[in-house]
Amino acid sequence: MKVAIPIWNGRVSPVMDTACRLLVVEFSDSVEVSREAWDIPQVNIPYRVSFFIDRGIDVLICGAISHQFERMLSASGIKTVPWFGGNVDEIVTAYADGSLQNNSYRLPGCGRRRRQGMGRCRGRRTELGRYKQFEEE
Amino acid sequence: MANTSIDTTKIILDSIADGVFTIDREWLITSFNRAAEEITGILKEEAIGQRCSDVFHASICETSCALKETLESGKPVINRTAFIIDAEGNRVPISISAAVLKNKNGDIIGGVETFRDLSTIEELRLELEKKYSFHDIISKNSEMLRIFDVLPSIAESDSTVLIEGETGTGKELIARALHDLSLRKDNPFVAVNCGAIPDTLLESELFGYKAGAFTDARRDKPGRFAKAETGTIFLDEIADVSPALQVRLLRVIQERTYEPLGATESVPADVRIVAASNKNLENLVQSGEFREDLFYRINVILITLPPLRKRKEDIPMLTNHFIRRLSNLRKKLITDISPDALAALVSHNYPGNIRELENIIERAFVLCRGTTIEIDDLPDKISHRDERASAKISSMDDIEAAFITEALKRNNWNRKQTAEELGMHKTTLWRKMKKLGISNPD
Repeated sequence: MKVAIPIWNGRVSPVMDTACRLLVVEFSDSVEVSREAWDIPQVNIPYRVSFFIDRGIDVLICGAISHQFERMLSASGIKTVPWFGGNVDEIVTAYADGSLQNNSYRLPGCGRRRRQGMGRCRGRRTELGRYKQFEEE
Repeated sequence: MANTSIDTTKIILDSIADGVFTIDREWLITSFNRAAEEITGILKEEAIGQRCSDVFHASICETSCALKETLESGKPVINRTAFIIDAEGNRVPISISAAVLKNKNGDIIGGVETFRDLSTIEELRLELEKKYSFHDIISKNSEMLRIFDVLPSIAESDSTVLIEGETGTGKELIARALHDLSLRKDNPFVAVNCGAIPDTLLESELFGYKAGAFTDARRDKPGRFAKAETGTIFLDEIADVSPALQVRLLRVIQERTYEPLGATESVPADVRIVAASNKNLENLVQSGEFREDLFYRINVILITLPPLRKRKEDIPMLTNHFIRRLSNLRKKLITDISPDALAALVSHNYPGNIRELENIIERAFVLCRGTTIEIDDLPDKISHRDERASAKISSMDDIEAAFITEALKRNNWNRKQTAEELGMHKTTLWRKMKKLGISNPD
């Protein structure tokens, strides 16, 4: 299972669409076996998706991501876990021990009911079942 | 008293259409107005105390953060374009300005960022571009729009057309538009650059040859006229054709037949001829370099394309068009050009016309490291790097003043000519000169 996280200054990169660097962590039975960092080519979204496919990424944990990018990743069989932020090492640990849904890692504005006309992010289930559907308040 | 002042500030900030937020020295958000909530889709309560990049999600957060720049330099950043990703995952185009915040002692305590939603403006821009697009040709210049108006009638007529215009003005695009609008549109369009093929080869290239016509001619080879049969042939740089070949072209136009090299019989030619020249053919006729009879045969309908320096109002639209096209072609994520870079592009004279502008943008694509082409990504002759270093331009007004002054100098301070060149009314130019404090040195 290869999990990718866009990184910037030791934190999850704020915008997946323009992120420059990617950390790829390989897990085996919830245990980290290797990690590697790559420069993400500064190219259009379809080519960025190819970059993910070429590296065999299964799951992407990221900050903000556009619908367009998320849909293309999804169509390529890559699970996206968006709207997370914070220290990268903590996110990796939280993913491994199943505590990623902890509110402290969610970006502001994620999963809350807001005034009419404002959005909310949608949770979804990964293969490991670690990312449960966010409940609206 | 202090509380009243804070409340008043809050009311004012919440009543404006631009998003405004402030940060402290730790990059944590300290205030977030109502428009910021609307544009980002994030509530103030959720934003306050969070890192600005975790709330704002701007395309420039990592590579060219406006707040970081203003905190480092102490100078404001004005109108930097980017996009944010709102809480619903939509890309929202925005324009960002940033400045430092100081306390009573003058110490920097943080920064303020204002941002404007450009979605509507972007939609209008695209609508406008559609309105000013005609078969891959983009222009809002009155002369070009007149050409767009008459092209369908010219295309329908099937007459021979001569397109005159400097190199790089888009003569082939006009020829293709004529073909696409004509009844021959489903048949071939064949372009020949007469200036690029040696005269000895051009004849066989145009008319083809029969087997045995010369050594190595083992089999028949159809020429470009044969390939263009029932379609359109575009003879670019026709002024470069030798006098001997001019005679043969004259026969094709007059008799609608031609003879391949080594042939004993004429071949009929059902081809529409569109010729083009970057030189004034009438002048070449007068100097004896071009046959008068051929000139009158091809000059049935004349289309004269204005050079780019005479249609400067098109430069922003063409620049955006090239950025979008190259972004797809080069797979590179560049979405915009900075205002000062655009001002520098508009002030250039373009001896190489639209092709030169395209090459400049292509070069900028190679050098650009962010998502916006900056003035330093342009060639020195356009960015005037050395002059800028000494002039220390500090605002858009300075850039506009420098740009207008340069145009006035070019036109010997003739306001009417300058206004025409800049695509504005002379009253507008006079008003701008007054506002920017520009006066004739004489």
